[in-house]
Amino acid sequence: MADDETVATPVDPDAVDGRLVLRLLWVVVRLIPVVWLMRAGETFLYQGF
Amino acid sequence: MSEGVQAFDLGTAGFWGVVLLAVLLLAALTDATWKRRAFAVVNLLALGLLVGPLGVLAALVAVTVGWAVGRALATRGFGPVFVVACLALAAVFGVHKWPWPPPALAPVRAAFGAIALSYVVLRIADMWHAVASRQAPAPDWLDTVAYVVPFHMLSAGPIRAYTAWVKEPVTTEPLTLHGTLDGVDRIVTGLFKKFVLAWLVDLYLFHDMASPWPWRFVEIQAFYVWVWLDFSAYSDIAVGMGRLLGVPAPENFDRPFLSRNIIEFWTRWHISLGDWVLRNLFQPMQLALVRGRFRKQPVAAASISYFVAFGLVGVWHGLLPGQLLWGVYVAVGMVAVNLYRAWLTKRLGRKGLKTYQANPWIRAVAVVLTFEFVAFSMVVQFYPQTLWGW
Repeated sequence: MADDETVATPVDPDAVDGRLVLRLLWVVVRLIPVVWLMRAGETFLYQGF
Repeated sequence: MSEGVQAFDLGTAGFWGVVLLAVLLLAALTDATWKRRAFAVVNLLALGLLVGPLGVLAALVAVTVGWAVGRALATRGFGPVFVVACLALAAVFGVHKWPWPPPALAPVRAAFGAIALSYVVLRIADMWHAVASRQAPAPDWLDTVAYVVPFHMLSAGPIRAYTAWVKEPVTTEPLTLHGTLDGVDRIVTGLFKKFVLAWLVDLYLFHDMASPWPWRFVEIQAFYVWVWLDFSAYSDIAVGMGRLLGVPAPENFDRPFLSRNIIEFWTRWHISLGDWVLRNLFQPMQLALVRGRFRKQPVAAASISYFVAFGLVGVWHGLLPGQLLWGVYVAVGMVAVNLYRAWLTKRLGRKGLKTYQANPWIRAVAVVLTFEFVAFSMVVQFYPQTLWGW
């Protein structure tokens, strides 16, 4: 094998990485006020169109 | 709300329980035919839980009529059956939208309202058009259930093109961790837009168009932003649910605030409705006109087609003065853009037009003007009564 060739490491599409954890955190951070407002009685109706 | 018809509220744990159940039931299916059929059945169950028995009955009536006529059109193509069926569909829609309904019709209207008849009518018409023009095969009843009343796109679209649905009704790749997060992320984006951002705009910036000038101007801008947050939130949720279910929902918004004119706006805002209008109204009409009396006047043919097509979009939104006025307002804007473009092409030539369009200053002015044109159109549409006091 030539020196400048690199061996490609197989990537597991479901491997847990830092970006995935950050994304999950971002989902949770946004969900907190959503759930709070839902519990306070805010509705999301699309009715009768 | 009438007895037997429930509210379709995305702000309840019950709604999300039904979504989770549907995702779990469909997640294991990797065969396209089985998944398609399973979705139709799961969809009916979900509708039963979400809109109640009368809502399901209304859905079944709409589906069966759409399917039966669709079968007939597969053999007959365009002809008297197509014309009569489309007129009957328009008449039913007109009765549904009639602003002064007799009280006896209230339960029927509530049942068809629960399944968002406005969108159901557009899906049925799209299916009939595709089948009659031989772009799609004769529909199957279960497939029609899945296409006409998909519970995750029911209340406010998007409207999938029937030809696209026939090509890929479901996706069969198994749900991966990343895929699931994509879907959940999109749903949460929608919920955040609606419950937090739209709520904040409503709380601090929007006061039912009651502010004195010049605050009214700020309110008009805020209302446009609020409508976008509210409506695109629902589309985000539908797209996210579609990913999790494996039943795709098309994208419905693409940074509409960047539109440089009202024609471009309709390729960025409620995209699936804009595409529906192009496929089913604008293009057939324009084609008929340029093949007939307007053979040598393509700009006039396009202008007439814009006017009629988007005037009808106004009617589709509602048979109320504000909605009708809005339809005319948008149509006039489209005709003006079309004529201005034709005039510029004549004056500058095709190359000159490209240079003109590439100028960043002209683009910036066009984007601001379009923003204001659309923001004002929302006042015309939803608060026409405030116009007389200006």
